[in-house]
Amino acid sequence: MKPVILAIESSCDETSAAVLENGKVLSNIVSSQLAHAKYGGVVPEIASRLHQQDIIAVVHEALEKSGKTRTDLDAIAFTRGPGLLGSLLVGTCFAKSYAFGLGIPLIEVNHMQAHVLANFLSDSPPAFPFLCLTVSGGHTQIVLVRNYLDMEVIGQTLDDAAGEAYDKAGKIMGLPYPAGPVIDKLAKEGNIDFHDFPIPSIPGLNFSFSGLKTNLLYFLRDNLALNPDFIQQNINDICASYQHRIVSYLLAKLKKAAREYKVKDLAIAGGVSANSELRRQFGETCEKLQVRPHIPAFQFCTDNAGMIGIAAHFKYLAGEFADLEAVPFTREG
Amino acid sequence: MTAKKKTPETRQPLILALETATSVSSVAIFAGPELLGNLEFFGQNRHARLLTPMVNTLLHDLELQPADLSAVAVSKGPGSYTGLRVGVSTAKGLCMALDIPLISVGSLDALASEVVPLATELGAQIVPMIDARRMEVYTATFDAQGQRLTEVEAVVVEENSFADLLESGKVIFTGNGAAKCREILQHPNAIILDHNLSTARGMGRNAWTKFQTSEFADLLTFEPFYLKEFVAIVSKNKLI
Ligand SMILES: Nc1ncnc2c1ncn2[C@@H]1O[C@H](COP(=O)(O)OP(=O)(O)OP(=O)(O)O)[C@@H](O)[C@H]1O
Ligand SMILES: [Mg+2]
Repeated sequence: MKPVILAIESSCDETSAAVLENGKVLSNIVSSQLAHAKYGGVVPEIASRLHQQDIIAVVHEALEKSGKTRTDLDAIAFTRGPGLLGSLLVGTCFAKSYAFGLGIPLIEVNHMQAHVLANFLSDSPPAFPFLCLTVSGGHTQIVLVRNYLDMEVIGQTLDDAAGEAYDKAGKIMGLPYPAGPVIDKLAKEGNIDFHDFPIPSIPGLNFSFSGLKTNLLYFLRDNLALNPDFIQQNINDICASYQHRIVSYLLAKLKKAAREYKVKDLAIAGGVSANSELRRQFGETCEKLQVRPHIPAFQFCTDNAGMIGIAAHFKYLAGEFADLEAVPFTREG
Repeated sequence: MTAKKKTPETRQPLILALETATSVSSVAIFAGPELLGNLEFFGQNRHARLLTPMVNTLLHDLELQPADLSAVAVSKGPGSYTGLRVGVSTAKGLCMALDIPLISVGSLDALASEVVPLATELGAQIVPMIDARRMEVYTATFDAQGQRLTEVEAVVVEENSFADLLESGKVIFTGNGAAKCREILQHPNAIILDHNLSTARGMGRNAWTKFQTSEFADLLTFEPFYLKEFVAIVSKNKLI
């Protein structure tokens, strides 16, 4: 069985379609909605309308680039959730009627599982069981992955996600949205010891990030009172020390989990796994722990349909199909 | 859900119509201008769950295959944003899968078209109304033949909203928005058909006309007619 799957992702503010053959990505088209930048965050109604505008072009291009035609397809996959309802509706309804029109099976995919499974879009995928640190705009999780479709969240954030910690800090400092990639870049030239951000004290494998941005807010407010140009003059150092705290905190918890669960493979996933400092320090951590590190290629870190496709590939092999009554879900649980 | 079953004797092109502008989920199949069958679900927020299954059921009941369809007509609105989102996404998926054209029909045009026989008989103008929020309705004025005479607008219904129109002669108010106006439309010229809901049956006439003249929507760029530009507020609050 070498299924050819068309996958669609529309959970937030990227419209994406990918074609996979036997678990290999033939095309992965991502249309990112730039319209939200000026609002400093995703505006749901605008996101829904832009998915509607883009979906046909994105699917068309994914098919064209893959060298396949719609009659070659064996299944249609879509993100059912979690995400924004209006955004999910466009991808879900399109996928359902497209699969129905072609007379082929439909596969629903959990977006967070897909982030984890992006690690299987590589030539040397992780071996089971492994732990994955999933860090994205809406989630921060340590996931125990027993098998392709058997995962358990063993730790997660109790408030903000890691990506939110980046984006909210960016908002405070007047950086463009999403701020993650911007802070990543600015931090490269900065001093990580500039400000000692507090380490949140949350027991076990859970996280908290909301205190970090509050600390940043007060730190900046105090310093701005003395020097109105404080942010501009120290932007690299502020970013470097803020990012350092996020990354070291994430990895400290992952390390703790790796010791507890005694796994031989560790992975990272989600939009924040595109962060250069996290990628670098994750490698170091794995070396110290003597475990194999796994990091998805950049294009499979932030939201993309390639990861939906690989998740769907494993579901296809397991015979897990959705019916035409499938509807989106906005959050887990 | 019930389907009126009829076997297509004709070789007229088959058009599938989807109407989701209000809380009614509705599908119909036409052979040329003639209704072959239709399904309706009157319930809140079931569009996403039911629309594609309803198409499946209706085709099955009519002993048809998806590939038998020649075009898909979709209600472009105005109406519920969520409903239209479901209808248009569903229509696009079908058109792309079957490589058939998309036809867009206004939700008010469809409502008006269903009362054309009565309007012609009475020599009445037609004012279809779709419930927006609070005392607001989406509406326009149509002549007795179902030709739209005015721009589609969102109107806040008030005491004298339709006074001039009613002075000029008989007016049929139709659609779920007309219920809001029962109180204020106490005029001898007012005929209120607020039990007429937006269903895919009303789309047949417009869809067939457009099919014959190849007036198709551009699948690549088609969007619902939201009527209102969405304006989000850019936060000016400085955090520090
Ligand atoms: N290089 C980077 N460094 C740090 N953060 C980054 C980087 N690139 C992207 N991000 C962050 O990743 C987040 C987006 O990731 P992703 O697209 O996976 O999230 P999402 O889909 O919005 O959320 P979720 O997957 O939880 O539903 C944003 O918060 C963004 O700032
Ligand atoms: Mg994501």
